[in-house]
Amino acid sequence: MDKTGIFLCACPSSGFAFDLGKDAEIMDLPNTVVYSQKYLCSQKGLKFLCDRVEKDELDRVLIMACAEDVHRNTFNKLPQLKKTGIGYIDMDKVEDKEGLLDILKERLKKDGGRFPKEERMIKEVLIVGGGVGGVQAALDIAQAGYKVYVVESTLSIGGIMAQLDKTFPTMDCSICILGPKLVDVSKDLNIELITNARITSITGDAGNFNAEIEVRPRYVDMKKCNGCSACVEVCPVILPNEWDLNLKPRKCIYVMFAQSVPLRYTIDKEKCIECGLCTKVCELDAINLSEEPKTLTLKVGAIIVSTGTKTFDASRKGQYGYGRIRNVFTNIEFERIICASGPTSGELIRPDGKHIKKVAFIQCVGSRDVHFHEYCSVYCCLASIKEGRLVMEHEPDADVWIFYNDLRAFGKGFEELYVRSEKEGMKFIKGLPGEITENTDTGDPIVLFEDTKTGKVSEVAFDMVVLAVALEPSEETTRLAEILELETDRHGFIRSLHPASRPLETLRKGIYLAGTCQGPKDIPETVSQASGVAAKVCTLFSK
Amino acid sequence: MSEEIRIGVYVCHCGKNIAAVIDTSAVVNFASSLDNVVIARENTYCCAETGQTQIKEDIEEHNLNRVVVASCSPKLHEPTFMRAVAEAGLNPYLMEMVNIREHCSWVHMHEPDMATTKAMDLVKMGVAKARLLQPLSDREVPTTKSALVIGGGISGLQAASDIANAGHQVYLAEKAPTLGGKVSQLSGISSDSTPPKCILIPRMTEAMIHPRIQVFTSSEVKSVDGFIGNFKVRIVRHPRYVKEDCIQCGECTTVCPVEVTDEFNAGIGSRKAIYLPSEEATPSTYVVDMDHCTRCGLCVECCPVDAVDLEGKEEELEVEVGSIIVATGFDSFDPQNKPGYAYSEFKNVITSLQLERMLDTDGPTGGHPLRPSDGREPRKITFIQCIGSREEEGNEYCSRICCMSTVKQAKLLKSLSPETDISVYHKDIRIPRREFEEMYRSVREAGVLFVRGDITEVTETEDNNLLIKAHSDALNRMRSRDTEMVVLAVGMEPGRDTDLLKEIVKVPTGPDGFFMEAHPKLRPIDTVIDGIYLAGACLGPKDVAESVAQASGVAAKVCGLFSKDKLRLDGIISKVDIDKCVGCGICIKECPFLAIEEVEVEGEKKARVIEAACKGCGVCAGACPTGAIEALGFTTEQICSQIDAALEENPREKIIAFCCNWCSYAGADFAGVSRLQYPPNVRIIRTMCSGRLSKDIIRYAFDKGAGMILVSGCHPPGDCHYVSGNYRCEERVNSLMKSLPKKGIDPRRLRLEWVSAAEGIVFQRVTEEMATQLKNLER
Repeated sequence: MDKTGIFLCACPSSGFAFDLGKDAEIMDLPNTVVYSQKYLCSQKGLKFLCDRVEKDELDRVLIMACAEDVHRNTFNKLPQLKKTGIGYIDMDKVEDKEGLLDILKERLKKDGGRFPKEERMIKEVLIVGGGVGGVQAALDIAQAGYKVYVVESTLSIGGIMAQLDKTFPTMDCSICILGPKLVDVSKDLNIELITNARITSITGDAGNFNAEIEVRPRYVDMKKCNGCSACVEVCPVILPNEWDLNLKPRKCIYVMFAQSVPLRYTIDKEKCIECGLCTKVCELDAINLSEEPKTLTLKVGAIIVSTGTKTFDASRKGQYGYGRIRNVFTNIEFERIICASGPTSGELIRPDGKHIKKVAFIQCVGSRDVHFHEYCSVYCCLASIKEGRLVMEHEPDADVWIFYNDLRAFGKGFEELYVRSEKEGMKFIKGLPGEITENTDTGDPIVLFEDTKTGKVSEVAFDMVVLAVALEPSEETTRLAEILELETDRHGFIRSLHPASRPLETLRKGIYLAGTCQGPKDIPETVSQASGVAAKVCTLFSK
Repeated sequence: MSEEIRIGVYVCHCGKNIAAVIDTSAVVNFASSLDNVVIARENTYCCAETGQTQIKEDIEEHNLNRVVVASCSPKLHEPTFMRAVAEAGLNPYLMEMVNIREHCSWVHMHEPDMATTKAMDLVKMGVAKARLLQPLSDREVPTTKSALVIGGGISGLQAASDIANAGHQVYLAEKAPTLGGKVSQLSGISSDSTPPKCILIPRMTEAMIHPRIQVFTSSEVKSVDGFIGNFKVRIVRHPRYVKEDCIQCGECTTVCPVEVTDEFNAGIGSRKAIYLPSEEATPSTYVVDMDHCTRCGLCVECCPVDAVDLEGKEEELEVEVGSIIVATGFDSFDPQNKPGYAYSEFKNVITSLQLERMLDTDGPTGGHPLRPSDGREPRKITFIQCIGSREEEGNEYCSRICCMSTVKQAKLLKSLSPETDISVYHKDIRIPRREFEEMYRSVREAGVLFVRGDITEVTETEDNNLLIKAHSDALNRMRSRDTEMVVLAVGMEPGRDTDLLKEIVKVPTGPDGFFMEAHPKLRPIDTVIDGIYLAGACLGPKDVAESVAQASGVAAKVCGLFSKDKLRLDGIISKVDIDKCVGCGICIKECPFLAIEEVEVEGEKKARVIEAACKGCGVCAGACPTGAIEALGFTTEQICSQIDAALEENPREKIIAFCCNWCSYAGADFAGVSRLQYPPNVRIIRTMCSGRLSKDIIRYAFDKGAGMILVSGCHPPGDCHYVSGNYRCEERVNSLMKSLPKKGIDPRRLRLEWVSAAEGIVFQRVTEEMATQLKNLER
């Protein structure tokens, strides 16, 4: 009869006390020896394990320790355990002592408890979300030689970063950095871009996922259109341009923004009057007004969720008057106003034509607020300092005020930018304003605040107020979490396997996270995470 | 007969970045007037798909055989445009970039007319060089598919694990006798209760037993030679003085008479001279601290397995790798002997790291905070934030983790003893992780007092208690507080060996002293050296989550690099003209890479370039007395044509600045990115290395009437990307300086300055000084 060794890891992080010697004895297990060792996963622990296997001539080994997905790899590498095989009870998944005894009995009946043979691994990846995170992951994985599908819900990849004017702390132009990466994606033969599409279902496991994708019609044949824009000129329907906060018009046939990838036109079917002018003018016969939605099925081995965030609806914070007071804007809107390619071609003017010189930036709108989101949205303090600097660059006599709670400049080069900006005359007021009202004659917003450093309450009129809005999970993030059955935290961000040590993996093997779908992040962190996820995929596929 | 040169010039608006300052239409009109220019256009974004398509269409339609793009720094988009012209069937080396953003519109923002004139000059220089461009071909070299990871902390371990699990060989070199790095000293790192041990131990063990990971502890990297795909690294392995036979019985420690401060426990308590660095030390072999060992021999005698060998010798080994990962982490700020922190000398003032050791249940105090003066548990504890961070003089940066660490420690202290009275003096509470934000609220609810304000004084009172005087911003007045123990939340500093390592791996550091990434957003884990990557806190303060994500990111870069058997290297190399070569051998001596060999051609000694080893610095071309060696891509003729173009008009008013590609050109770029304004009469000419410049080239510029000449390269000794090119340059400039008066040239017109990639401000200062000097000289 085979002799089985049961090894219990006596790790202090174990969930409940279990006296293997005593409790296992009760079960009256024949031909078993039980061992207990602190930190079985340490080098010392492994040596103990191997020594026992050899000296006590064990035929089978059953390990009881935490996190099987982490540690089994380690144990698998021991040559001494090749002949015994490894049974494993993941103590993290055991709820109580009774449960454990049942599992133990069950497992001892079976032989070795080896993993079932893995099915064939499909070495292709699905990336959901084409923001800077998804784009970087796609490029890195394609570089390693694997096929990548990028599914993007909007008409172009680029995400929120494409809407920004500059990036902090270097004040680089955002689209100059991102644009080339987007072009690279469109050119890489290993990457297939599926835009205007969303995932409807995903089944299967690591190595073998089946994804169904619904591709919405563009009413323009992607293969035929070459982005020449002849159709735009003739289209008679003029609509507000959402990309530029409705301050600029667009036609009914349009691209999202000048650097869109793919640079292909789309008809806004709801607003289209079907005049047929575009059809007539298109020499490539690319217009197809009767196009139907399509369903695609992809088989992939791994999935990367990089569905990102959306911004907080500032009108929910009623006292700041967003949507009611004319010259209160969100910071994303401000990025478009100050952007050279934006609605005012980079001129700092309000919709009523007044030059913007005196600007208030208000932090923590929706963040660190018990009524909305308790968490900090990470990017906002520096984004406001950056935007303030842009105002100062545009207008030499600009007057920039930043109202904050804690000024959180915690990334590389951030504090330096904060200090420099303060020296150059940016005003920092500790304390968030209580209310914003409007001077209805001038259209100037008036900010009521208490400077908590001096205790003084004041009212100051500004040309414009910019609200630094919180980041929350995007609709796609929420939807994907549901489809993939991934655990979310109470704010709706997707949870990783461990917040500190395993930030890229999810509870489901083969599904990884990059960027802000797991919580607010700045661009550098998103980009390095995306590369990190690429490594996880390479590792998975190397088997 | 040579083909007709047909040049297309593309002037980019870069939105408003260029067009708001420079009159781009005027530049386009000017470009159209230049010889050989067939077409000149402007574009909002040349780098966007439409911009690139325009260039490609023009190449086809107008039969262009040279392309000049006047836009941003070539450091940003040279590869983009090279690829674009290649896609149109043109040799990619027939594209020349003109930097009118970083070197023009961003640095002359308030002088649009001067900036436009300068942009025209720069375009003229670019077109002049473009006429002489020759097609070059990339080289293919084999890749060694193994990687070296320097540093065995959490980042290094993660990178090693990911690369090895993707199927490649990894060498892991750690300076300390054990793996684990700084995380091993912590009592907790995340908002949940997972002990850091449970994160570290499996990773350390995996590294030790992984068939594709070879671990070298007590080891340091001594030198790095070679290039991407083909590095040769020499590693020195210091002896442990204890052989691997060690059974960790601990007898030696018991008999050892030497007591040494225990650095693992941050100075709390002591260890012996022969010791196990920590309970979880990996490898789990004892080690002798030779700095303190008295060689009494007691340990040798008592060891039951004869594992102690006090005669152990240093070993030196060489590994060949295709890629190197620097993951050398940080060191904690040490407040002692630093100005402003005199109170850190008081007995009951401890650092946050010491508290971390105390709170570790396996630590020296068994998980209890104890006052060093009397070993009693304090009832009143005060934290002071930003020690060694956010300083006016010193470390200007924020260390990112200290607020979270204090919140976590306060929570632990409250859970150990809810009555403990805890206050935290801070500037801002900065919490980038949302789990910790919740913890911040919960500790406030539990009664931890957070006071925003500056500490003005800490004094010692009766019974080694402390009195803190601080300004409270909320109350807008001074407050005093008695406390029984003070915890200093110390920041993170660059690892103490950073400066040493930086010269070995040739990766620059930033103004904060941490290693610098190639680009903070585009390439946050790459370095300026291809094939060398950065991960973790050696880049700047970081928490564990960010470090491991970066480490995995680096692994992806390495996997990408190793996914092909051969690597393409650029075609920028040196070439010998056999007819002109007299076989003097000077180039062989000056080449930093042993890339030139002596050969016999028809009985005569000649030099020959070993193409795969050549790095294209052009030091040989700068040295060759007969002009027989050409640095392809930066030929003498090409550089002189740029000088001609720059000095065609008003030469006496101009400053020619020769900048090396890696440091000085990047430094000038950085001046642009930082919008540091400098005089608009500077004309920058890029070479790969300052050692590329020959005396003849500099003389040529003076002959053409240059008002001033700046020669600029990487800081000696170690910053030069070609080992010693900066020294060669210095020799030549110094020698030339002496001979200038004979030619009737004031030597003050020639200046040599070292400017690093982070020193935009130095570039600004030097050019300002030179402009003033020029005015004085011309008076």
